[in-house]
Amino acid sequence: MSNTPAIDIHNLTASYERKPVLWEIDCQFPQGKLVGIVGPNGSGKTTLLKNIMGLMKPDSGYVRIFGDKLNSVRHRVSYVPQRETVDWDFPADVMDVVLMGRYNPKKLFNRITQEDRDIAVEALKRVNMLEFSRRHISQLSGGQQQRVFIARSLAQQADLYLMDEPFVGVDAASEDAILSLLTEMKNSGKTVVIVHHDLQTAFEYFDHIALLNTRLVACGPTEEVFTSDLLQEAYGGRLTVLSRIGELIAKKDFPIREKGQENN
Amino acid sequence: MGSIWSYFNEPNFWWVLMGTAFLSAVASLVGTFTYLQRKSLMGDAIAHGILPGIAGGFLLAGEKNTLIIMIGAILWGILTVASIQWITKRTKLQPSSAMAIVLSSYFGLGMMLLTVVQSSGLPDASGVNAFLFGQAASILPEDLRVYSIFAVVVIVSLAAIYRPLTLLTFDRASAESRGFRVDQLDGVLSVLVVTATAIGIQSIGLILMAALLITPAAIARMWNTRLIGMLITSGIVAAIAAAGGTIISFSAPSMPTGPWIVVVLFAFTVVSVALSPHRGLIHRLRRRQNNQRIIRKENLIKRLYHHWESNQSTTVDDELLRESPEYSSDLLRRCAREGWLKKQGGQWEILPAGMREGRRITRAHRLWELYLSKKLRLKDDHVHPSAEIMEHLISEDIEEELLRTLGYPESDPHQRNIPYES
Ligand SMILES: Nc1ncnc2c1ncn2[C@@H]1O[C@H](COP(=O)(O)OP(=O)(O)O)[C@@H](O)[C@H]1O
Ligand SMILES: [Mg+2]
Repeated sequence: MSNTPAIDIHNLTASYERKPVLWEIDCQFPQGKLVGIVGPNGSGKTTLLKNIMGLMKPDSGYVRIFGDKLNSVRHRVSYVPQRETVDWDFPADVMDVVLMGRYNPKKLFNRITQEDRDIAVEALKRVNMLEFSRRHISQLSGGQQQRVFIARSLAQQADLYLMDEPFVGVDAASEDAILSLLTEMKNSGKTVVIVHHDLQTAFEYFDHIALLNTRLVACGPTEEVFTSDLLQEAYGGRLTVLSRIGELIAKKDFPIREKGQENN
Repeated sequence: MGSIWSYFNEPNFWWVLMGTAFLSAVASLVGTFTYLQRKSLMGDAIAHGILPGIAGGFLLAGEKNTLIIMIGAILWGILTVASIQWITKRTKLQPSSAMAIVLSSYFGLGMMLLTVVQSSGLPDASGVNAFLFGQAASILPEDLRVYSIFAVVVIVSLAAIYRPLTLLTFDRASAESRGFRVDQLDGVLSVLVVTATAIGIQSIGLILMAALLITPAAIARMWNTRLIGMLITSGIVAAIAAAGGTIISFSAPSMPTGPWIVVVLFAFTVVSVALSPHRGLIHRLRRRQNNQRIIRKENLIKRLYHHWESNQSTTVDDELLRESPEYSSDLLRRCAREGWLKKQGGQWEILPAGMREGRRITRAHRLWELYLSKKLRLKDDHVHPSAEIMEHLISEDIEEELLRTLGYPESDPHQRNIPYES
C-alpha cells in the first residue's frame, strides 16, 4: 500500500445557489483506514461527499483520489448515497439492485453475465442478505435496505468506498453486521469513508476522523481529534426505536390508535 | 350480409389492428420509464406541444405525407422539451408551470396552423383531425410502415440504454458518480418519449397520447414488483387497449379511436385498483381485518393475564369474560385453537402458552409506556393510548432494543411490574 492519501482535499469551498456551505476544507484521508466524516445535521457532510464524487462543482479548491483526478480512478471508487435519497418503491428485488453494481458505464446493450451474478451472490453473502435475494426492496427493514445498498457497492469491487450515513434508521443487528463488514473490508486493504452524525459512536468506530461543521473543526487520527469532551455535549442521544416502529406502522397498515380504547 | 363485423374479412383491418397494438405497446414501454421518473406531466406536455410540428409538416409536404409529418412532429417535440428546460433554468418558475405555459402556447399555435390546413384546400386536408383524437380506420398500410420503422428504432434504443436508464431512474446520484452520462441519458429518453408520442398520433391522437404513455405503466405497477415484469405487463395492456379502440373505430368509423382506448385503459385501472395483490383495495381491506383480528385476540389474552396478575388464578368464569368488549365465542374458539385457552365446564383455563403470550403483550405495553415517558418525556397519563396499539406491533428485535435502551427495567411509569419470562 502506498503512502498517497486515498483522498486529498485541497482548500475546498462549495455552495448551493452561491450560499457557501463548506469553507476552505483542507484534509487528507489515509489509505486502508476506516475514516469518519462527522458533524451535526446540516454541517455539510453530504455536500463534501458530493464534491469528492464530482456530483457538484466546488467554487474553489480540488480533490485528488489516490493522487489522481476522479475521472481516471472512477472505477476504483464506490459511492453509497444516503438511503432516503432513492425511491424504495422502485420495482426491483434485492438481487436486481445488487446487480446494478455490475452495470458498465462504458457499454451499450449492457449484459449481465454469470460472473456478475456470482459476484452479486458473494456480495449478498457478505452482508448476510442472501436469503432475501428475491424479496422486493420495499419489504425490507431500514437496516436490511442499507445492507442491500452496501452489497451493491461491494459488487463494484472498488478500493475506496464512500458511504453516506449508513447507520441511520438501522437496527442493532444490522449495525453490528455493517460494522464488522467495514472492519473486514479495512483489513483487506480497502479504504472506507463513512459519513456519520453521532459523535459518541464515532469514537469507537473510526481510525481517522474529519470533524465538520461548515468549516473543518479537526481532522486526524481519532485519539487526536477527541481531545475535548465538550464536543460530545453538542450531540443528543439516539432514538432509533422510534423510526423503526414508524416503519412498521407504514408497512403493516396498522392504525395509529386502536378502536374503542379500554383501560389496562 | 352487411353485418358491422364484416371488416373482419378485410386484410387491412388485421394489419391496422396489429399495427396499432404494436405501436401502443412500444409507446407504453417508454412511458414506463417516464412514469417511474415521475415525469408523467412531461409526457402530456410533449404530446400537446407537437401539434405545430404535425400541422407544419402537412403544410410543408402539401399533402398527408406520413414521413414528413412524423419528422415535423419529432422536431417540434424536441423543441418543446428544450423550451421547457430553458424556461425552468432561466426563470424561477416551477417545472410544472413551465410545462403548462409551453403546452398551452404550442398547442394553441398548432390549432391555428390546423385551421390554416383545413381551409387550404390541400388534398386530405379534412383528415388532419384524425391527429387530434386518433382514427385507426384511416391508417393505411404505408402509414403503418413509417410508424413501425420509428417504433423499431425506439425499441432498439431503449434496449441499448436499458440498464443505465434503470440505474438512473432508481438512483441518479449513484449513476452519476460512476460515470454514467446522466445528461445524455436524459436527452435520449426525452427524444424517445417524443418519438413514441409521434408514432401514436394517428391511432390514438395527441390529445390522449399521454394516457397511453402513463396509464399502462401505472396499471402494470399494481401487478408487478420487478421492472421487467412491469414492462411486459404494460406492453400487453397497451396493446389490448389499442386493439379494442381499433375494433370500435372500424365498427363506427365516425367515432375517434383515442377515447375508446382510454375507456379500455380506465376499465383495466378500475379492476387493478380493486384486485391488485399488494396495493389493491380488497387486499388492504383484508389485511386491515386481519390486523383487527390479531388485536382482538391479543387483547383478550392480555385481559386474562391481568386477571391472573390480580387474582393469581388461571381460571376465569365465562360470565366474567362476557363483560369484556372483545368477547365473542368465535374469538375464544380461535384462542383455544392457538393452544392459549381450554374450556372446562363454565370456566376457561389459561394454558401456559396463553400465559406466555399475555405476559409478552403486557411486557411490550409497559416497556413502550416507559420508553415514551423516559425517552420522549411524555406525561405518564399520556402514554397509555399509544401503548395500546404498539403492544401488538412490537416484534422480538424491537423488544430487545427497548430492553437494552431502557436497561432491563423492573416497572413501568405507573409502578406496575414488567413481567419477564423466568
Ligand atoms: N440541494 C440543496 N440546495 C440548497 N441548499 C442545500 C441543498 N442541499 C443541502 N443544502 C444545505 O446545505 C447545508 C449542508 O447540507 P448537507 O451537506 O446535506 O449536510 P449534512 O449531510 O451534514 O446533514 C444545509 O444547510 C442544507 O440546508
Ligand atoms: Mg447528509
